Amino acid sequence: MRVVIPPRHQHPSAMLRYTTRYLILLTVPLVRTLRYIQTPHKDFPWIYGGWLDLIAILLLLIIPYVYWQGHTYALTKSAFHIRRGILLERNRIIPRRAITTLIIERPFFLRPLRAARITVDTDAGGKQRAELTLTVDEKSAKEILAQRQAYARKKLHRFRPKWFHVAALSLLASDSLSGVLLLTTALYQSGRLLGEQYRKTIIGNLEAAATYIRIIPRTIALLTLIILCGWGIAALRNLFRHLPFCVTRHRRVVAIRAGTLTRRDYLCTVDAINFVDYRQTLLSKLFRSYIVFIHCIGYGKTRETLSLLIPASPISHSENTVQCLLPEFRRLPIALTPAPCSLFRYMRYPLLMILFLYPAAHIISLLIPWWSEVLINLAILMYIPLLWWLTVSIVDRYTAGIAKQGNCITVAYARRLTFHVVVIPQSKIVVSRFRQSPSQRRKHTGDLFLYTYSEKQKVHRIRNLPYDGLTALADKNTRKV
Amino acid sequence: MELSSCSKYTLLCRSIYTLIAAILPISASVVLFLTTALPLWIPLIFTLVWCTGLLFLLFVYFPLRYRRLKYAITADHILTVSGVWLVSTRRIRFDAIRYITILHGPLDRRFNLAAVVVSAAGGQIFLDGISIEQAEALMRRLP
Repeated sequence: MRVVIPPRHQHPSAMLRYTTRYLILLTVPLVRTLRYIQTPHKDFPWIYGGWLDLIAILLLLIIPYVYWQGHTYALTKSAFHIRRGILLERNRIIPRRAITTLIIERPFFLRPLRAARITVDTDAGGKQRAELTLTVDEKSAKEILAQRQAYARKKLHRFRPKWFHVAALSLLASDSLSGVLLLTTALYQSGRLLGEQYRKTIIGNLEAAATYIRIIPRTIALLTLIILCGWGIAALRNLFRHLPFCVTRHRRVVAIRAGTLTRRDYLCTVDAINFVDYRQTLLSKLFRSYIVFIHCIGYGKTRETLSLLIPASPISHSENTVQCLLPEFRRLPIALTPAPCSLFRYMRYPLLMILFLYPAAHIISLLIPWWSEVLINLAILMYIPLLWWLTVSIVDRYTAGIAKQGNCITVAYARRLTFHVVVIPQSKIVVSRFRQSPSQRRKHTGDLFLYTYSEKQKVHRIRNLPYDGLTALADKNTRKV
Repeated sequence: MELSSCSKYTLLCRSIYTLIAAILPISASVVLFLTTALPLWIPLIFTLVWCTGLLFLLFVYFPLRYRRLKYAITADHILTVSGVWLVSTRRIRFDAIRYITILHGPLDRRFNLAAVVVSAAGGQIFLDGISIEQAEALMRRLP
């Protein structure tokens, strides 16, 4: 067993992470101080209980140190070895062949301390947390990275997208809610930080902007403006998270580097990639561009991270780049499309909602008359996403389908408002299910569900495929094999 | 395939840990009995409930659990049989194992005992009461 890194402690900055878990201890001095402040004649003998505060603060310093002391890691040629605990000892061994993703993060606040965060993930374990997270010194991080890339051997292809492709991705993938939360917190805190006058000026400007939009009520216009601003902020945050973006294909590993403030290196094992997902929205379909994602356990696990391979780029470019980076995942032209006369099956839900939304809003507004204006306006606003959904469903009817050749399966379908073209190696399909309703049984059609390898359920659904075509496709390939 | 039972000290060791953990409800009972504002039946019922729970664990649950706990480590898989009311048999292939965690406290070390959590893609097996040497041998067998 060749030792690459002998047993070592984490970087001392890891103690800060442990300290945050015990901040609850600070409630002791806090409660005592509050009691002292609220005593009318200050006759509460605060100083006599000072030993309690001292103990709380000492514990806050000692517990993280003891934790840090009892947590060591080592790396051999074949595995990570982790030892934790003083009394109750836990030894964990993670073989290197089981590692699906290795992440090395260098946040801006750890860089001056010459420390980096390492995250190791495998197919096993929880959906939310990685198997191993360590704060190590820069030298160890480099050693681990070098070991993994040595294992990866020589560089085969490198891809650096243009900055405006990353910017387009940031706009498309921005989560308005997080931006709105950030914006409202900033507005709320601006009064305290910059003065009440400044906060009033910002809110006044927003309200003034809202009055320009005359066709909808002022409250809804203000809400829309806040959501739009939140979207912009989230997009900017996404841009910092992804720029500069670089993907390198080594022999067995795909190395992805991203981030301005926090530099991240993701090393995904090619065998652990479950599928490649080409995604389009209706707008990007019009502009003929794709965003390509990969599904590899550990990459894109946290809520704010995307499992990105190629940011928004033209169709031919993205397909060629995927072929260079991951030739194992060959995209096929769709061979089997949904059965004729499937249009209604595809568009029934948005269509029914469009037909019944306004009458439903009208009936509710009769029951709650003081909300009637807002309800009717909201219902009218809801027609925009519903019409969008209807259009996506109609387009999906003519673009969905499946193709199979050798070990690779390509499926095209729409989920929510996004179009997906997914390339899955057959070995990564855990369960395939063909579901028929009574009417589908009569027409010899059905919905195909493909469940792929994942920590949580991952399903790909293609609606209303002809049963005979599907069996013919499976048989044809079986004969070939 | 011959199934092995867990070490004879496992029951003793887990019972001692449970008794140590019982310090918490004992302290809670003492505090409740000393609180004069409470009627006497509240601490009495509380103490009765946890005492019954503790006795059930020590004299019914643990003996049954550790009597039924059996395991086998073969060339290509690990098999465990466990359960008190519902007995389950779990089998995990060596090539599906992703990582292994060995747990041992101060008492376990005294009795040369360890508990092993075998994590695979899609599930886990908890192997209690095996010797530390066996646990380490299992670690070395990871492909």
